[in-house]
Amino acid sequence: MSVSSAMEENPPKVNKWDGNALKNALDDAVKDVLLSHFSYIESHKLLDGRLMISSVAVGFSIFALVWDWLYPFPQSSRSVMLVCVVVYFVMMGVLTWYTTYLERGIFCTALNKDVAGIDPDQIWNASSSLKRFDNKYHLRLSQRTGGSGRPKEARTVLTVENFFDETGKLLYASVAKEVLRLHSDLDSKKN
Amino acid sequence: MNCRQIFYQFLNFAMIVSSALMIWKGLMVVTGSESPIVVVLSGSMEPAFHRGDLLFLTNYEQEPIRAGEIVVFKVEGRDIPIVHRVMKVHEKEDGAVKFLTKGDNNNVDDRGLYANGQAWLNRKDVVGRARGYVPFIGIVTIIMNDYPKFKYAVLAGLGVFVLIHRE
Repeated sequence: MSVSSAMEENPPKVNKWDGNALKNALDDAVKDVLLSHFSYIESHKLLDGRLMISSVAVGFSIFALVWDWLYPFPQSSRSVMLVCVVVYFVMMGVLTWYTTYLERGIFCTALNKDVAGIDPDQIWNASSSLKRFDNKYHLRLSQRTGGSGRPKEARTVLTVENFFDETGKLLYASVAKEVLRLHSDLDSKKN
Repeated sequence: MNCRQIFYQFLNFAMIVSSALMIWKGLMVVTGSESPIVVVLSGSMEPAFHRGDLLFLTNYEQEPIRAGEIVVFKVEGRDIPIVHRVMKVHEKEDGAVKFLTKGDNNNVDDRGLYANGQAWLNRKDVVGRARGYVPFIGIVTIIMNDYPKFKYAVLAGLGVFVLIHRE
């Protein structure tokens, strides 16, 4: 059906006691399955938005640093500093809002582009969560037809022990099986 | 990791540094002082302040300098600020003020510390008035300054950790 990806040949090995590493490894594997088994293209829009907000915030902070260095404090730089500080923290607030409401744990957006270029793209979103010290990895796959479509979603809960062997190596085949199952569930589900 | 990921790690690091910087600048704006938090380096203000105490300063223009207050000031030509008590104040009607300081634990006033020929301090020499303090915490800063290698090691370690660690 498809060529096996680099990750399939050589699955990553992580510290099996580190919940953060486990989640990242599972996220990477799900993304890898989505992109290599189907001819989807990854869309970076979500991550780009986050990068943009952070860059603006850091830009203001660098500006404040340079301005203070050129015009040392007590003079006119007071109002400039005030503006920079306020804008910076506003940007931090925007970033938090963005991460909480827009991103919602989505780590991969893949587009199923229509070959003829007529129909709008199908957008696949994969999001996940793994609570601290918990072993249940919640995976949510959603499909939306671009523009106005209502999203269809399928969820599953994976117990992390079943997807890593004793040395901490990722069991790529098991992950792939789950992802493909969710994917075909969504494809066949009517609205 | 692809280049977006790498850029994001750097941005993460930059955001942590920026947050610290912005909090400092915010404090500067709110207190009106160019150095709102200082560490006491000498024992010249004992028993009120000891070496390693952290001081919080404000520098509001409207508040007058009065005898008995503890001020942090900089002498022209030296960059280390000094924290001592105000002994004598001369004030003109237009608000121009000159004052003399002395450390509580010193035997003589600070005229020996001032610049050559200077007998009084002016308003512009003041970095701020001490408003509150936290004992002992500043010892960390003193250690970092006495052993700069330790400071660089800690900073480098933190930097590497933030750059490598994936959220």
